[in-house]
Amino acid sequence: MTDPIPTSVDQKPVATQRPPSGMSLHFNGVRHMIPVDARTTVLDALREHLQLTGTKKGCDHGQCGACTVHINGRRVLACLSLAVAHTDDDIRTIEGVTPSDGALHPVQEAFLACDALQCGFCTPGQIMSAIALLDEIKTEQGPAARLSSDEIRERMSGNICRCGAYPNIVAAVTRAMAGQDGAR
Amino acid sequence: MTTTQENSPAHVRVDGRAKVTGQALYTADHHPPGLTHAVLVGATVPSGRVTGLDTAAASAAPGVLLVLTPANRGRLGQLPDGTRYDGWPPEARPPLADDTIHRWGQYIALVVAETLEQAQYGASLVRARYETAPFATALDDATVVSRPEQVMGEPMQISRGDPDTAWADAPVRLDVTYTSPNNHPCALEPHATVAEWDGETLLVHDSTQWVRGDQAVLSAAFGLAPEAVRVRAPYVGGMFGSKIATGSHTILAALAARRIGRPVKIVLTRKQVLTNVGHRSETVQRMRVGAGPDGSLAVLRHDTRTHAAVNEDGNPSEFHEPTSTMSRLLYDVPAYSATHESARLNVMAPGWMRAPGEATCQWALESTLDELAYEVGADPLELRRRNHAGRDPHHDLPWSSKHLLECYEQGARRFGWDRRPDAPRSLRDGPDLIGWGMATATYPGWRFGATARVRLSGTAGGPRATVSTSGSEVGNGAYTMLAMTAAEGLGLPVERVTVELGDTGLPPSAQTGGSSLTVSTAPAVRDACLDIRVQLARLAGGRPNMADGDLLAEVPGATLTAEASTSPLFLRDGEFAYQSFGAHFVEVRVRPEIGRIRVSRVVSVFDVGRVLNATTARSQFIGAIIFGIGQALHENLIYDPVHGLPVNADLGGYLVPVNADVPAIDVSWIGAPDLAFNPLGCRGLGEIGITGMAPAIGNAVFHATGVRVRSLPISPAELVR
Repeated sequence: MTDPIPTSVDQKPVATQRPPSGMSLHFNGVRHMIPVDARTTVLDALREHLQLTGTKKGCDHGQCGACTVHINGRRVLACLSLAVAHTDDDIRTIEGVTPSDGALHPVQEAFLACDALQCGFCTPGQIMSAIALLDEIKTEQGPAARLSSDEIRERMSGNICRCGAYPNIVAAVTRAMAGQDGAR
Repeated sequence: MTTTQENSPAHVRVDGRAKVTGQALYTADHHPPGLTHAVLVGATVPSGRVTGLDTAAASAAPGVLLVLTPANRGRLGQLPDGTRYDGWPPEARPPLADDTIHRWGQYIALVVAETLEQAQYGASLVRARYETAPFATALDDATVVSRPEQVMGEPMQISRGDPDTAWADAPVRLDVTYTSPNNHPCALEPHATVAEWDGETLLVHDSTQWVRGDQAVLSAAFGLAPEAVRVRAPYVGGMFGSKIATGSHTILAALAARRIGRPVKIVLTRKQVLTNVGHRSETVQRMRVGAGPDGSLAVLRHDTRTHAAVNEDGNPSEFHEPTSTMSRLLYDVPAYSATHESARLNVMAPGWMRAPGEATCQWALESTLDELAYEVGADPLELRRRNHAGRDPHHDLPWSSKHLLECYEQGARRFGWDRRPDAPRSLRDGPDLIGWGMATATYPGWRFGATARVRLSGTAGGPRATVSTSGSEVGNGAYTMLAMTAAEGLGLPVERVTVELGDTGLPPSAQTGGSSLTVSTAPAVRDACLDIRVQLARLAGGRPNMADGDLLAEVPGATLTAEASTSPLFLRDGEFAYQSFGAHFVEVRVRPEIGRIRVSRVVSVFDVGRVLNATTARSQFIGAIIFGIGQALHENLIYDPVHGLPVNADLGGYLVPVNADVPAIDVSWIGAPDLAFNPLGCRGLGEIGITGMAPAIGNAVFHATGVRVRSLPISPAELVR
């Protein structure tokens, strides 16, 4: 058996020159001009072009959730989103939800208190997912919304944690959900 | 610090803040000036050779700086073979060695470019022409079968007592075969390397659980003194055995960086992770047990077939999933034999995965014991008590510390095991069949050894300590445990201790593997702290009763330093066998019409010596238990027997547990210190949780349905036949 793709040593390069084009993106409330090409994902724009590396690449296929960010307030997989499609959108990352005064977001605080992490690689994605989840239920069910542990498990199942922090993640989301009430 | 019900101290993860804010820097987060990106190209046939490799289009593509192939790779030095435990390449054959193809996905080229997108595009332009050769990716198709004599020093073809006679004489006999598929560690952080040269010195950020192993392999590959290679891995995004060996990609990243004179970053794709860093081999385990009418074991014969790679025959440190290392010692069996065959297949060389050998052994052994319990009409827990081994029967040594019977008792109580009806299909809840199953967990005591340095400095704000050792934090909680150990040793609050890890520039430590990092490093930290206390006492002169805080207050600006080491100790010495134990009790709910299995309750109790930090220990136990749920119900890396490629090498196809698969998990431990193992009394605990989980689930499925499933993962299809 030989490779069915024809091979020719004098084949002309099929690549056409794609000079990097600038594009304007809003990350964490700041407008950035980035010399990215049309193939660049939101994830690679963040990590490789802006060096905002809190958002992680676990699979690049939309299957693990490690790259979860918020686009216009909704949780989105940055690896499946082309940067050019989001030039007018508000993109928020783990760096953007962390308060600048050294404090933690209540969901970050809950993850820490419940030991809802081990290696920490999926953690930014889990936290971005959990923050959006708490917003989702308020939108869907009103401010007094409560989720059962089973509902939290289901709604957090787009984020894989290979270390297996799942029960502690459920505890952290539950704690953050209760804390929201207390704050009101 | 708080204290839990198990009387263990507990402390929040000291690296937790960096992790929840995204500030912890993993390998691929490094971005040195002038960074370039590399993408690997894999073979698309499973066997044969490359007859033509066209890199012209790739080389001419925008931004491409280098295309490395066997034709221009150049010379690499002789890599260590792993026999001296000083460093391990992923396979004996160095990367890009020649045009031979042993397996699908084997690297045939590396494309380096200015940007990631350009490297990905360049890699897509590399064209290969192949001459294919016969191959095998299924056990039954193998033409070469090896019989390994040993794995990691443990013999694989063994016998004790008189198994033939005992089998012939046994009143009760079972002859059953259990199988398990390829599993993959599949850490969420893909393997990654950032390599940069400064003249003749090499700095490598690597996703590794063994910076010194990397240092040994890389210095050998490039003909450098070890000191000329610095490897850093302060944060590792999970590993589970797959980051012990130095990856081919790591060697190639360093080679490419040297060639172009700029830093190079490689991050494996998920598919490359699943096909190029080693997996847990499939197993076929024939179990023959002979017993008395009460289930007392008379003989156990354990015959295993696994697979190995075709190109690894003759590698002296070749790894074969060592299934019999636990069956030979876990129960009091007078006659025993084990054999091991390894079929050579066109796949990546199998490697270590969490509890390598133990997790697969326990699947076969603990399921077989459940069958025996039903055969003789005994309660499965009572059957295990009857066969309890008061000493290591194979090596004829006393255990250093064993509290397995207490694990059984405590687990049964917490679970409510005494309310379990024996008969299958006797528990129901609405449409669901309920089943209760149990199994024993066990994992041996490894200590690979480490040196730790403790530095105590008087500062204006009071004394501060720094702990330094080169072992890696991989999610195991090493930063926190070592900070707690030093805090206790020096009488300081944990907040005043800084821990430095994952850097070859620090005092040497062996790999974070074999559940041994804490047992290697924490006793060394303790001894260094004792040394510092002696130094302090000398400073105090004739005032031995002076309080520590006052002593420390006397050294503002001064720095006291001490180093201490632990030596390697593998499994046993002349005095004791070192072994951890535990018990899992599991409830499953099965929907009979569709065969859906849900694990609805888990109670696990462990005997792992003293637990240094309840918070991170509990998390590791739970995580390993979830690995066991994956082993039981989900994980199966499938190689196509016709085309030889892995057909499900991504996270949509290789299923691992997600949050909705996991119930509340009740974990506790006995906490009795094993002071023979080390002065802190701790044994490792990162892996034991997976052992016994798959059979506990399988046994619960049998109790729920009356169907005995002997192959993993347990498929719903088996339950609706």
